[in-house]
Amino acid sequence: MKPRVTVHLWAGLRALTDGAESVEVEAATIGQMLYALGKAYPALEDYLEDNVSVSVDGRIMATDLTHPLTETSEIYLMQRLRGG
Amino acid sequence: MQKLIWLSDLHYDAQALVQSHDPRVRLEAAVDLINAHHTDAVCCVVTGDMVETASDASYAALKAALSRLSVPVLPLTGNHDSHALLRAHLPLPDGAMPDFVQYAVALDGHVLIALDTLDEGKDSGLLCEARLSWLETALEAAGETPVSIFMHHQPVKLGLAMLDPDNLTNAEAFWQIVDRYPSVRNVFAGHVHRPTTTHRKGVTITTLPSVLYQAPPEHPPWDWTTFAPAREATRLGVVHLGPEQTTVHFEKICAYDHGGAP
Repeated sequence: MKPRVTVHLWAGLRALTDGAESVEVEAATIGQMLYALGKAYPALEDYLEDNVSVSVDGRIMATDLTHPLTETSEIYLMQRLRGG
Repeated sequence: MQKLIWLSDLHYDAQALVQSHDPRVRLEAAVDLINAHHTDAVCCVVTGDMVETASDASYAALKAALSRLSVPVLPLTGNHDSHALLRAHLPLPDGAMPDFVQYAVALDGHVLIALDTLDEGKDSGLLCEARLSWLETALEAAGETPVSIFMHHQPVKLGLAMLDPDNLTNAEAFWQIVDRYPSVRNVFAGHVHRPTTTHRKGVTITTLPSVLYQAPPEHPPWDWTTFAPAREATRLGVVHLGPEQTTVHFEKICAYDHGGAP
């Protein structure tokens, strides 16, 4: 059974989650969390691939989609711009 | 014409006052202003000195404060920052240079380049060979698209007696590259905690007051033994980038007494 994790959203993303400052999804890894967020909040889905960074317990997780999550993980979803 | 917001020199601290100013109150006022009037900005660029003392606690507190911003934030390093800690705590655009806080962002008809001038352990700034080489590649990639460069340390002397010695120490190497690319329109810098404008060979260099505290003007003369922050209101920059011109509005964030020294 996957843990239920709380994801805190930076303000610029909250319009995509009906104003919620934090949301809960079931996920054991960052990759599962992003997938679950996209399913739960379709407006957010387009942003998830390139326009967010994930911070877990105070550290940015660059590309590690397999990083494990627990119910006590402090998770922030942060808006970012695409490089170019 | 597109708009971006420019902040500089937050000197954020989780608990302490800095130069008798409250960095939490000042940043909160800036975020409130941006959220009230500038949600149409494409981003908010912060030209360095994100924190007063580089530590996990400082950056974690800053991250929480910036999480209220309704527009994406683009952080840069200043001499008070740490490459590694900033990268660990704050989001950077994809494609950022490894190990540094240096990146390019393609805006609508304009390229934003953020340079990392931090020379850890020193107040002055430096662009090492690797960072200069990256800059050259980024300017080449921009082609004829107008470019604005954001950086912490000013790459020119500004006639500020106490602040000029701590500028970008290898500014000559920076200009040797930039002078070859007429696409560069603007340089936006922080560090000096004063508003100035310089025009050099087709490039306008602008500096911004600090979100937290301001350096005194040149008159009456002062030195570091007599230094006391000027009792001036803090400001942010509202940068309007167009195909033919750039305009910067300097907008008051709050009254001096709001978070200022008694």
